[in-house]
Amino acid sequence: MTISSQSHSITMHETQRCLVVPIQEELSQTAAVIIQQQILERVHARPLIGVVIDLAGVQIIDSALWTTFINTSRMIKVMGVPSVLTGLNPGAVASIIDLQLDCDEIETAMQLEDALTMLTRGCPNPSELAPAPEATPAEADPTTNTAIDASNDAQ
Amino acid sequence: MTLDAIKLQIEETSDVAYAALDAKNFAKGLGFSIADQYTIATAVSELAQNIVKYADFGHVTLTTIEKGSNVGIEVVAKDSGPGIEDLPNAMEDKFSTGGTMGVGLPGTRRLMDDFHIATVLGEGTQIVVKKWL
Ligand SMILES: Nc1ncnc2c1ncn2[C@@H]1O[C@H](COP(=O)(O)OP(=O)(O)O)[C@@H](O)[C@H]1O
Ligand SMILES: [Mg+2]
Repeated sequence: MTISSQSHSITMHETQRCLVVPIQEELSQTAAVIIQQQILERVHARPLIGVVIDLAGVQIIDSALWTTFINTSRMIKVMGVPSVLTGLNPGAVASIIDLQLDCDEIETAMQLEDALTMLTRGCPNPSELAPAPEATPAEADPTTNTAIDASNDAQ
Repeated sequence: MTLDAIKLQIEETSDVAYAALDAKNFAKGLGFSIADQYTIATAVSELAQNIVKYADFGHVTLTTIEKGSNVGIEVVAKDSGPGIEDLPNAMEDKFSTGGTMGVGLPGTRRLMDDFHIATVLGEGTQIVVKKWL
């Protein structure tokens, strides 16, 4: 097993206008902060309706790492985008409970599909919206279009 | 009787994650359940994090312990840092002088079976925790 401290080991992708961030190995605090930064940049650059952080590869969760995830979720919420944590392992859950980490303000789901259902709820047909919506006359706002065109794939 | 021990130097943030992983593997070698392996790793992560944050430098030692037919792991986190000024409060949830969550010490006590802390102002802190199989 390895510890991810390299940002390039995380490959984010988008589906149904949600950003999916799969974390496949144990994270150092430093790596978590780098990922936080990358998520914020993506949320800022693209019109997303949600973010899913999948912690399937993370078993060792301490209070600092949890705080980073909570803060990431808070920050993107301030940017208008909700998020869901998925893939929490039994090992991680035991630590979260024993450390009495704050779980109230974070949404969780077991599977990616459940998370996407939660995030796309209220969106008529999210798959039709993907990937980048055409500007309709009603929302032909040049600044919005510029933002979409300028968004780069920060992978 | 001590069967096996490893001593880890704790100085930088990256040492924290490696110490946690070493503890996980040590616990696995002793036959701890997967959930216990991560519980122990999390405790080590909290103690090592405190060394980096409050003492700059220290060590974490992992040792196999035995009592009758019981086998367990002992974790010693030792530093020569400033010591803990207000120990009763430091052991309470949500008390932090570092602006963080303040759950490291009380949480580690809950995660492990046995928890001992000795701290002297200006001399350092030693925390000894155990978990039995
Ligand atoms: N190794 C240490 N040396 C000096 N002070 C410490 C050490 N470990 C913990 N402390 C003190 O105990 C407090 C509580 O620690 P902890 O429960 O881990 O919470 P946090 O790390 O979030 O502050 C710390 O804020 C700090 O004042
Ligand atoms: Mg701490």
